[in-house]
Amino acid sequence: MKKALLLTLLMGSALFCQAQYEKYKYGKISDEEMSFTEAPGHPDADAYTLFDRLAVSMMISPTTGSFELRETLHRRVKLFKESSFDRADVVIGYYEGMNIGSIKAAIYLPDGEEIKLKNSDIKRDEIEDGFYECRFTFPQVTEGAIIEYTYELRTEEFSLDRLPTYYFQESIPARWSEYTITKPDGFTYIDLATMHGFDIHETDMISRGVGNGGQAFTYSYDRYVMKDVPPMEYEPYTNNTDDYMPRIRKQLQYINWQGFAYDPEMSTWEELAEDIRGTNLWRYASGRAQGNRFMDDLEPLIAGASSDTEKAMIAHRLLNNRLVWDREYRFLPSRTPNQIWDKREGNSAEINTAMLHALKQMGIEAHPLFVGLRGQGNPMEYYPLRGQFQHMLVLANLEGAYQIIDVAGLAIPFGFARIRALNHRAWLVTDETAQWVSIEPPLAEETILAEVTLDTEGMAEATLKTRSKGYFGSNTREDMVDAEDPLDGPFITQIAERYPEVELIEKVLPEADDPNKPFSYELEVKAPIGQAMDDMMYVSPLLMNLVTAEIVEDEERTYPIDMPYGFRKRYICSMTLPEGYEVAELPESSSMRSEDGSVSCKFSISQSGPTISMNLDFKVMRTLFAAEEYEMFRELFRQVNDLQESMLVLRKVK
Amino acid sequence: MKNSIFLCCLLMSSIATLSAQRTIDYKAHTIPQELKEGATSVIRYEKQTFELLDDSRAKIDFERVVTVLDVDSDAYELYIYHNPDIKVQHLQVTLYDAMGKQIRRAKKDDVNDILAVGGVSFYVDSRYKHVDIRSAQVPYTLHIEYKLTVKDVGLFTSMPDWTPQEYEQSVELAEYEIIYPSDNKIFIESNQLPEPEESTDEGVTTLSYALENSPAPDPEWATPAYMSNLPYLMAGFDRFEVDGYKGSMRDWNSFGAFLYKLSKDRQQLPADLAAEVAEAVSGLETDMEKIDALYRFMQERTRYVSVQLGIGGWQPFDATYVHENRYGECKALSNYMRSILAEVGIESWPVAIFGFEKPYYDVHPNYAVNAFNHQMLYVPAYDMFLECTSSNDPTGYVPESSCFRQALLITPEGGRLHPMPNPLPSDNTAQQHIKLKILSDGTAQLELDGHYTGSRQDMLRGIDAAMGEEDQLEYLHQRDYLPALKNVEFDLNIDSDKPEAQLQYACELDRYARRMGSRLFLPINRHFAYDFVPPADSERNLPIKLRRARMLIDTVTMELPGDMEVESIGEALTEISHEAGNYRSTIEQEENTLVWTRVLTLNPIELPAEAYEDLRNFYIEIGKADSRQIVLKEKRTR
Repeated sequence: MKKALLLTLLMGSALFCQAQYEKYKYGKISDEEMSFTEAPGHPDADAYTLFDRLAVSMMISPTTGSFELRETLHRRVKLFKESSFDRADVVIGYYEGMNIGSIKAAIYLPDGEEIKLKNSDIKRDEIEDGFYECRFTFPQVTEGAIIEYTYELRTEEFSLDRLPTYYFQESIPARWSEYTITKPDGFTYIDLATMHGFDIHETDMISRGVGNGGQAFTYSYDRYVMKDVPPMEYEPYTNNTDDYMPRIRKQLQYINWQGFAYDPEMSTWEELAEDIRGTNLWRYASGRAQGNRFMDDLEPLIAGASSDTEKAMIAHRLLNNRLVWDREYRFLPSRTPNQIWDKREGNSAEINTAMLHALKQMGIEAHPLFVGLRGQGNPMEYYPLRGQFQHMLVLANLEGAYQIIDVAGLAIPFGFARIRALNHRAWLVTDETAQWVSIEPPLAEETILAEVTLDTEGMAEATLKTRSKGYFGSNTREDMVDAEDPLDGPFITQIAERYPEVELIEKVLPEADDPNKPFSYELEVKAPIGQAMDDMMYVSPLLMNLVTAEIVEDEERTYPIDMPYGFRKRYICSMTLPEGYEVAELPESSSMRSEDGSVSCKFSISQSGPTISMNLDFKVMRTLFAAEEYEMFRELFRQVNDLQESMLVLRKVK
Repeated sequence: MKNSIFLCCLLMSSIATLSAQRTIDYKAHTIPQELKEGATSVIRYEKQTFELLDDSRAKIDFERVVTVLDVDSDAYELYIYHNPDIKVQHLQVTLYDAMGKQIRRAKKDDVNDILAVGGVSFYVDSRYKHVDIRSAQVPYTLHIEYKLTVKDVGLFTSMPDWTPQEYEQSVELAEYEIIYPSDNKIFIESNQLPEPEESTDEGVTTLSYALENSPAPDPEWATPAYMSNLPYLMAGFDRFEVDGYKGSMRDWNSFGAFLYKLSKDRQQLPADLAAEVAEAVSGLETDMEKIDALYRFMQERTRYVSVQLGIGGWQPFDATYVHENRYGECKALSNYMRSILAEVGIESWPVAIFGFEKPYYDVHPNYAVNAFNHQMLYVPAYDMFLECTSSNDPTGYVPESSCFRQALLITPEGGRLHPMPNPLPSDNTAQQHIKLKILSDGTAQLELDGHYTGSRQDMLRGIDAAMGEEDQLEYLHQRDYLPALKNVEFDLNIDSDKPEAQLQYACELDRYARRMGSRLFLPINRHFAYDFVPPADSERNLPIKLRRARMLIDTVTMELPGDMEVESIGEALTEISHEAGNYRSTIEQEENTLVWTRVLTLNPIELPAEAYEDLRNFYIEIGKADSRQIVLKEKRTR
């Protein structure tokens, strides 16, 4: 009796779900959908997703008896404007081992005509090794048409750890976004969705047999729906944008199914650390035999080194000089240091594993530091998920100070991580412990010392001594290398933006440049910084802008500002005024800072005889600013922008 | 007899010796210093042999040794185009270090075979072999070798053109050999290359070119064509055959005749389309009215989708294909338009053209070559061009990117070059009235009333078709056309019949002028100043060719704050003249109002290389004049 009741209940709820889906059944376009002339609430939108549903199922295949993952997408989009027509060009990517099938596609024209795509309209190509695309485009696309398609991707080669992610939000408004997941009861996934404002969330249980009279299995069914989802808006300086979009991201927690138990990684961070200690990384990092050919080349070079830091820097340089990064990010190595040493290329984890190996062989305390890359999601410290890591850094104890090392090419100095790895937090795993640590790169600093002599025409002869440190040092070096014309290159380009007629008298480059140290160089220029009009002269004491207002152009923000590193910019100027002129007015000295002091600007200006001294010092010490802090951030940036356009007013002495 | 055998032996032995002596130098330090100047890579040795086997088949042997000097150089990357007609064989790439020691050789898994999709191409059957091996440290050297077999030797990918070096790349020695049946004829145009050696043996002619010690050319702004400063060789045969279509590159007429043949008999309209066309022109009397109606008809029902399958890369899909799908690429859409015009008795011809601002190669009457990447349609009766990939241009409008050049008309009588329009400054105007009400704290109320024509309205027309009002505003704001986004009035109107647009905009700007103590620094045209300056180039080599005509008129009316007066206003009249254009601005004050008017005319022009500095100064002076500011100060008595 109980069973019958349960069955009735199950069937009832299944029918309910079915009834809801009936509304959007493929090919059934309602009059209401045909009548839309704009997306409700979004009259500007060029297209409108009427329905988007990803149905994921992980079930026992009746034919092979293995688990099979099916992803069935059904999508219906109304095209309002010509600019949306490229949405009718559909590209579905998939990998070797996956089959695409059950493809149906049709366009519904405003006059009610339906045109179905033929099989010959659908092309399947191998794009490159192991990666395929299925492509089709719709005929007779016109404003007001609705395109609709559905397909199914099937595979038995998939990871149980993570189910396909679904985003409920996209660049156009969506009327109905739906995700369903059917999986064996006993497979427990945690939901890493970034928000739970679902309009519908239903759960259910269903039973399915395998083959005729075969064993029946119970599956759980979850359905998530969001209605009337607004379009995603792009904002500059946003990191990990996907985290702000409503989505479903399911991660395996454990399996307890049919007597089979599996606990992949989700229990504790310590267990995950233990698991990682059992991977090749630990062997490759510590086993002498795994990197002896590399060490044979390194050891003669470090023979005369007097400190661990010096040895580490030599190893860092050698690896940078020999190994090409193959542009792949990985957080664990697949090849030994010897293998990549011989092939002279490796992925990011393999190259840094070689660094780790060298440090350990040299007796230096060193550990791997796992990071997720910028743009790939904020660190998730609640769940011990290995899937969040894409890259491995090295943390080394050099003469008592811990230092991050990333072998990322000659442009990234020793002690710095590549920009993409600056995602705020990293997971440190040692032989005994594991913990999350903050990555706080040193401030990038730029200092310009300008000595300026102004003539009566407003022409300045200026000597600029510049010093760029940290990431600014790397940028300056690269700009210097890329400069093709004398008027190209760091600082001179910024001067030329203000004064295109700037004349370069001399550039003095350092005799020996160590990429691990600040970059300094001198410029001598002539530029018309003063405008003489009648008896007055108006002079801009800064030859260049230190900041641009680009970062604060939006009136408001929804998402935090997230910069990879903080910075400090200083412009110190000593200006000798021309004979026959006196100061009529100087800008006021000022000082401002955010409440917590993380953003500050000091501007001071004074006169002593014919000399004007000016100092502008702008610091942004923090990298992350909440959307609520934007107004403060914007105002400070704008004030700095104003200050860098300050003018001195001179007057002819009568 | 004896003598001739002896001579022959000598020749053979000298060739053998030469060949044996040619050892490839992989060491980077042996590159002469003058070849390193401005070079990011150096071709140490290159040998290409193109052998035409008959009118449709060829073999290509390629060998290149290149030393990469700069980490940012992409000379290490190898892409070999192939498709069902072009097969790649014997691909081998070997990497050497700076000392010439072999580091490694590319293995099978280093070679990627990639479908040539992306950009505008949606359906294609062409692919690339891609090899990407390099060293972490420069310099390093790559030795690349491969062979191609080509079926359907054609115009677009496999005729024996040769560009032995790129910009910022120098050449120690590059050789090119063209071998072809002597009963065919070759037509050649070359630039910066020595005369070839020519020999004929057993019905086969060989042309051998060599380029030695050629320094790295610099890319320069506003040159006649992309290839102007590169050595190159263009070649075409008197006879070739593609998919059964016979053709000749003898002259433009022959080349055009071949292209015409490719599009022949592809204009048949399905009955329902013919009926729709008849309906579309029903009641219209003149051919001009019919062209206009049918161009709109075509625009409304088609969109651009690039389909490059089989010979479709060269031959237009027929009118029925486009009718059924309502899409196509430039050739298919032009052919569709041609077909519907033909249906009402209006003759039109396809036009082959290079469709970017700077042509890759400047075509001229004396040499026929396929230097085109786009097709339009030409209506001879009205000397009118129709851009059939556009969904919103007015009838007969030619975008600036297709002006100022020669194009190939593909007529029933063959091909002939025809000049594309050369617009005048008065065709491309921006006339803006800007009203500013300035407050003493620097805040300003701004009103803009702008009228734009020709190339000055292209972008506005584009965003009007593509975006809603909010997105249009954001687009214009992000590109610095409009200063504010919030609390603005915005009205964009596009004339559907003429290349004209009208924009009204108003906003309040809280930092328009900069207040400092008792003074206010007031930029005269802060947001609409003309500030383009050509890049600095202290060693200009090539003549200058500017393909732009503009007339930009701004009138700025500034209502000053009542408690301030003018301290410095600058010159009442500014005039700057140059062959490239004229600048004139005036400023007048009437009580509390300043009116500044600027007329800037920019002419399309050709100038010698020596004039570059002078031209740049002209632009600098314009920028200075447009960015001037007025200084106000508090009135002494209130």
